Amino acid sequence: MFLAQWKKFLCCFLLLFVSSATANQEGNDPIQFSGFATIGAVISDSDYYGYRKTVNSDEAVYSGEIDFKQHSLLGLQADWNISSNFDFVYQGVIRDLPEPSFDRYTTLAFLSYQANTNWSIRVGRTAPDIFLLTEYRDVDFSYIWATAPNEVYGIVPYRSLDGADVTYSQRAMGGIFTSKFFTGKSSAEISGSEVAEEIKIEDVFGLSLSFDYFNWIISAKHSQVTIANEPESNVLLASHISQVPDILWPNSQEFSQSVLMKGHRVNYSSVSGQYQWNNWLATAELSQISSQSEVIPKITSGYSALSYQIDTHQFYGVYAFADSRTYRFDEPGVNEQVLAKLIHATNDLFNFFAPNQQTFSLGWRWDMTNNTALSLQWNHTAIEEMGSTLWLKKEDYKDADEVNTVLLTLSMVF
Amino acid sequence: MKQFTKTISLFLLVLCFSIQAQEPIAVVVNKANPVDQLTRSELIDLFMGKYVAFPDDSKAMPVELKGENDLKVNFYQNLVGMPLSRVNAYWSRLRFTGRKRVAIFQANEADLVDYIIANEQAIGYVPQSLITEDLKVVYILNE
Repeated sequence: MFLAQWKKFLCCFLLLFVSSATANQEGNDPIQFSGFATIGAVISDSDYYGYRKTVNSDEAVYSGEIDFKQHSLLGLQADWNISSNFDFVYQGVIRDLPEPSFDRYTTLAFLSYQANTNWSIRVGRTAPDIFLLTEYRDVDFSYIWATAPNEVYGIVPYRSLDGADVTYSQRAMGGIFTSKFFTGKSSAEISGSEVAEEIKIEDVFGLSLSFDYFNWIISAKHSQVTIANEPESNVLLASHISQVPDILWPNSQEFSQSVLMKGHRVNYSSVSGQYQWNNWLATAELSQISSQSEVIPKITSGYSALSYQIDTHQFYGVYAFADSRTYRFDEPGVNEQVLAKLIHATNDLFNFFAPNQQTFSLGWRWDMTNNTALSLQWNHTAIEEMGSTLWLKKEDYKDADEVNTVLLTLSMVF
Repeated sequence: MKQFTKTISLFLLVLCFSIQAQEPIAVVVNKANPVDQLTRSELIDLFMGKYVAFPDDSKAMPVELKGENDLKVNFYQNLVGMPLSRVNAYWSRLRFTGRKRVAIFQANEADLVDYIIANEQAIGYVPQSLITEDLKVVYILNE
């Protein structure tokens, strides 16, 4: 019933798009429709580690397969200029999701008030601004690479934030200084090889600062969130551990509590810079995720990228890494032979959010028209032992490995 | 060898002609606008949607040409050194994160000039040959 209604809604929305025509983006009408889309094909050469765009995905690409789901999406947006100060924006992004729903497809739905040149306020659903590209990472046409580096962006499942933000912009030192404070809550699915869990966050407080001067921009961002629910896998494991008698696991009661995540704070921080000179563009970002929860280790990740433009062609290289601690069960006095399965599950859970890998990428982007780009990117990823959080695994595979992935995307805005 | 020299000479001649053929582009405002000149950095802020205001912080209204007009292509190539596809890529970040790109779109250069003459906050770009007494030039590109 719901699906039928959703299809009707979608058809109406698409009809509106057809009738309003693409030129409407450059119109002066109070309601404007626009959109973005990507058709993406992926091949990979690993039999054990399956490539996926983010940890949301419960499907992956293995050797011998051609996937069109990971990177393909359609985004539709309506902008309603209510008055000179008030606007309403709705954006829906249709893509392959583990738990599809109207709520998950809706990425923006907010009312904005532009008080003056310096101040603006938005209330409703906005995009999370925790790292440099998280606000527009699905708009593939907007950046040079075929995809945002997985090492930094693959671990962030959240696509929207329900709350409010306040932005202040000011000319300073010959450039533009912008600061944004945001707050709200969010939720998203995180998938492992066997389970997909909904993780909710609340009490999100973040600050984003940027300085934009002529041909360079630097930014710093910091957000703090609180985990609002307990994933079922964690509850189940905590329950099993707490039932183990002390003779087999001396501090099992106490240890079982360390498996739980609800109420723990997680911090996201990032510094980034971009510099453009002549036909060159250099971009770098360093990010860190830290947490009170023992299940979520400190993750340091980053990338640096360089591209060169020749007419409508851009050639680029990217180096990205993700580094975190690898957990190995080492509790004293535990009977590891009797509790082998439980210890195995504990190792898996404590390494669930622990990516350890490096990727070298080479790519070519061709701007076929002023609104359409074709990108071809080759990734060579070295995954460390037990560091494959960003991948799906077959047969409980944990070994270090090297994987090649090729992405071919056609991205556009209209 | 002679043929090669002739070809090179012809090529250089065509190149010089095509460079000379690019008329300077004037960035203009309404005559009543108190702004007398802008820096290139301020123009980039205005037209790329980074900070859409004049130096005195009064609201500005950039006026754009619709579509893929040659003047528009030349303007952005001269201003930010990017082809229109890269400029569109930048604007798509603003649009699809829900930040309004403040601009009024006009179908041709004549309509653009008329709009600027009628609106004190307006700012736009025209070929130097279209400058009239009713417009104030605040910057010249490709001079």
